[in-house]
Parts: sequence; C-alpha cells; structure tokens
Amino acid sequence: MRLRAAILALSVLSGVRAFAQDGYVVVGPGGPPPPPEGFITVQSPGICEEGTSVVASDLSSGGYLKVNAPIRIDEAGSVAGACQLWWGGNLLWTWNRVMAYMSIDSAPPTLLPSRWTVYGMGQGYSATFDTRIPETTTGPWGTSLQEPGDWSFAFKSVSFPLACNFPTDSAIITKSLTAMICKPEWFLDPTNVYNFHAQLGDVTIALPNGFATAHDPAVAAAADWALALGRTITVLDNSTCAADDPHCVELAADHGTNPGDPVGCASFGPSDLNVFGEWTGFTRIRFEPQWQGADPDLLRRHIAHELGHYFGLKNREDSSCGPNDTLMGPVIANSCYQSSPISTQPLGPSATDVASLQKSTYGNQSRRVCGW
Amino acid sequence: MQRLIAVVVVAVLFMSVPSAQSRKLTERARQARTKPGTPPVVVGVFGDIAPWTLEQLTEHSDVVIDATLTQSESYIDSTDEAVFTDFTIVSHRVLKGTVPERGRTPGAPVSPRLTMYGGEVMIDGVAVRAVSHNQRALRSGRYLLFLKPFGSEPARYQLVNGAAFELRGDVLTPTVYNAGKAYADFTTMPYASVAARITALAR
Repeated sequence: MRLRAAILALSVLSGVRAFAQDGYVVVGPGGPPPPPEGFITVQSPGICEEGTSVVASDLSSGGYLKVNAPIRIDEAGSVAGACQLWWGGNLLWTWNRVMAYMSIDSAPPTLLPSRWTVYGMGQGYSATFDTRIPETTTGPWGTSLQEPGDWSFAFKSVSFPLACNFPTDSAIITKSLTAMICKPEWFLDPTNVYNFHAQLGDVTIALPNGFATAHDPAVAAAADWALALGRTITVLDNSTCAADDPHCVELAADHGTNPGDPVGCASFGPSDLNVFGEWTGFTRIRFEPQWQGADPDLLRRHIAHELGHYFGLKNREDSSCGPNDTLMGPVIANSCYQSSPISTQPLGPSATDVASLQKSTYGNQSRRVCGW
Repeated sequence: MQRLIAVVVVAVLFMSVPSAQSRKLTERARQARTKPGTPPVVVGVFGDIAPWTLEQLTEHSDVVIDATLTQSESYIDSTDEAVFTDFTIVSHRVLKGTVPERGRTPGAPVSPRLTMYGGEVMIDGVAVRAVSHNQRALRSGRYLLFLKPFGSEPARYQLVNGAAFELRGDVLTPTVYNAGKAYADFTTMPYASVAARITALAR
C-alpha cells in the first residue's frame, strides 16, 4: 500500500499518469505452495511383500520396514504463479514464483529427530523440485531406520516470498511406518484376502473339567493379552463355550487322541469365518494330553501363543525373528511337548506381536512388509 | 399383579434367548436350511506344525511311502463335528514300514487309505465344509507321505505333522502352506536323495 502510494506520488510529480494496477500484482495462486508429495521406497531388497505376494518397493502409504534396511525418501513439490511490477500502466517486470527448498523431517520413536533439506541444482531457479529426477536437485535422502518402533516423516515445500510477500511455507504432510527387527506375519487365508482374527470385544477363556492345571497359566496368558490389546479377557473354570460365541476360547488337553485330529502339535478350531475373516463361532485350543502336567510357565507361553493365532498372528518363521523376539515362534523342541521351560523366550506377546495386530489386523488392514 | 409381572419377565427372557447354534454339523445343516439362502456350514482348524527335520519326521512315522492317492469319499465323522476325506493309497515304493496290500495281506480286506481332515458333503441340500487353514486340500495324484495309523483300524492312516509332499518328477512340494522352517532341510533336495536318506534312516 505504501509502495503503491509512493508510485502514485512519483507519477504525479513526474507527470506520468498513475494507473490503478500500478505496483506489485499477484498473478495466479497467491497462497502458500501446495503440500509436496513424499515417497518412501525400500532399496534392498527392492521389493515388498503382502502375504505371499511380491509388491512394489513403495512404503509411502505406511507398512513395516526392517530395522536398518536402506530406504530412499523422495520429495516432489512445486509452486505456481508470479509477482508483477506495473508502473504507469506498463508491466515493468515479472518474477515467477520459484522454490527455495524442501525439507524432510524424521521423528524416530526415541532418538533425536533429524532433517534432510533439498535444494535446486543447475542454472536458474525452478518452480518444481522433484528428487526423483536426477541432477535437478541435491537429491533424495538415503537413510535407514536404526530404531524399532513408529517413525514419522514430515514433508514441506518452501518458496521465495518475492516482492509480493507470498506465503513461503506449504502445509506439512506426514507419513509414518513401523520399523521392526522381526518380520510381521499374519494368519492369512491361502488367497491372502483374509487375516483370520477374533472379533473386537471382551473374550472368555473356558476351562473344561480335567484341565485344572491350565488355570493359572491361562489367567497369566489372558492378562498379558488383555494388557496388550486393551481388552478384558476372563478365565472361567469348569466351563465350555456356546458353539456360536466368537468371543469364547475353550482349552482342552486332548489333541491327537482322536483319529483324524488336525495335524501338528496343537490345534486350533473349529470356527467358521465371516467376510472380514473374523471367527464367527467358538474356538477350541487343543493341547496334547501330556501338557496337563507341564511346567506352568511353559503352558502359559503356549496358551498365549495359541491365543496369538486366535487374535490373528501366524507362526513367525522368518530368519529375522529369533525365538526371543516373538511369542509366535514355532515349536522348537524335538517333540511337540517340552519338558522344561526355555527361560529366554517371552511368556507373552512382544512389542512386534502387538504392533502387527494393533496397526494392521485391528487397524488399517495394511500388511505390507519391506526389507526382509 | 406381581405374579403377572414375573410371568411377563420370564416370557421376555425366554423369547430373547437366541437359538443356540449346535456344535453338531448335521444339526447346524438343519438350522442353516431354515435360513434364507441356505449358506454353507463351514468349520476349520489350524494345526501348529513342528519344524522337524527329515530324521525327526521319519522317526515319528510308522510308514513312509511314495504313493498315488485317489480321492474316494468325504463324510462327517463319528463326533459329528468334522468332515473327513478318504483317499485310496496305491503304493509305488515303501520307504519305511509296511503297508498291507489288498488281496495279499490277511485281515486287510480294503485297500490302504489315508484319512484327512477336510472336505465337503451335502446334508439335506446344505453344503457342509471343513477346511484346514494351514494345509492345502490333497487331490488325486502322487505324493510322498509320512503316515501313522488312524485309530486301530487296519490299513487306515493319517498324516504325521502334515507331511504330505506332492511329487512331480524329482521335486517335492509341501502341502502345508508357508511351510517355513518345517521340512526346509529336505524339500529343496531331489526326491531320489530324500528317498535314499529315508531308507537309510529306516534301517
């Protein structure tokens, strides 16, 4: 305004007629730059998996990344419009809006945050920065996530204000992903469509007569899962489940005693599923009879493991997953029954077990894993 | 009046109790029939497979056999809670144990057969299906099978630890989904080498 008045005064004094548009004029969008786009891709191996399918290396919509797996973070931003200087009804100069820089901020779970700044390269300024185009910017951020847990990335574009005093900072867009040591694996149907899992709600564990030794281990396992998932899980002695109660899990110690029993060391069933992959009837967890005299901690761990299947987890068999990293490690004994506890193994769900359920099974249903 | 209220409350309670679903498949099929669309009755199981080596698998098996399976029938089992499917076993080579052969072994009037959890039957027009969530349904074809007796019936077998491997040429393919570390020590080996190891272990 002050400038416009000065130009008007100058025009009058110099005899040049002042026009209404004299001064700095905004052409095109005058607001802040639009939010940039952020792209996160895993570099090695340069593919991700969803179930048994191999998918693109893109983690931009979230997912799980192996700790220390190399990733590349790209950013693309632009700005449009111009600032013009008019005097005496004549256009004296046009300044096109251009990018100043872009930033990528990473927020690790507990480590200090860090920033990557992208500048333009080559001759002149540019209205568009895209780190995916070689030699046009200072480039993408090649990094890795050193700490397990939830990471957040904030992307921002910054342009020059020019003489029109354009707002410089774009809105920030954020993307997040979860870094894990141990590869998440879900209890999927063969077509990778369903993640078999329990319905939301409180759960009852029914202990029928004849498996009284499972009471304390079942209570401890129930408490671990209740804490992990924020649910109420109750153990009822001398009880059975109603056939159509999907919130009821019945324990038994008769696996393998009937001809044609399901294969393996323990079995889990026999519920139906709905279109969301949720159990629609009761679940029965059957151990071999010798588990009735098992060490309480050992039994607690195995009850918790089978409950992990009920909630949606598969056995974790990837080499990244040691027996101490997850409750869902497969049976490691020569026979199905172990006679003594394995002290280093977790008795309840680990952080990676819980994250896989909370974020995917009971979250966005995204099961993209990268870097393993 | 109080008596009337009590009767009404009892009646309401009685009416609000949903019709409980039976565990018995035949009953569930009958219940399903009364609903529109008669959806199939489906049950399923998941067995926790032990990651055994070839040595452990052979040790736990009474019979190891290279055989052709022919699907014969699916039926509801005696507990009325599962569907089983029987396969006729035609032996190509027995690597461990002995299998009674029809017509040759006294007391074995029927061909050796394998009984598997899973399959589909129709009851009163309603499909009743059982699925194993961690094992592909077997088809007629050639397999390497690790077997143990099915109850006390002669010549009737079930799998040990899900160990049925599709056999094509010299290649073994597990029928357990995502077998992972289970069987990893030998499923990449040529079948001839695996057979030789089993034979040596069985001695």
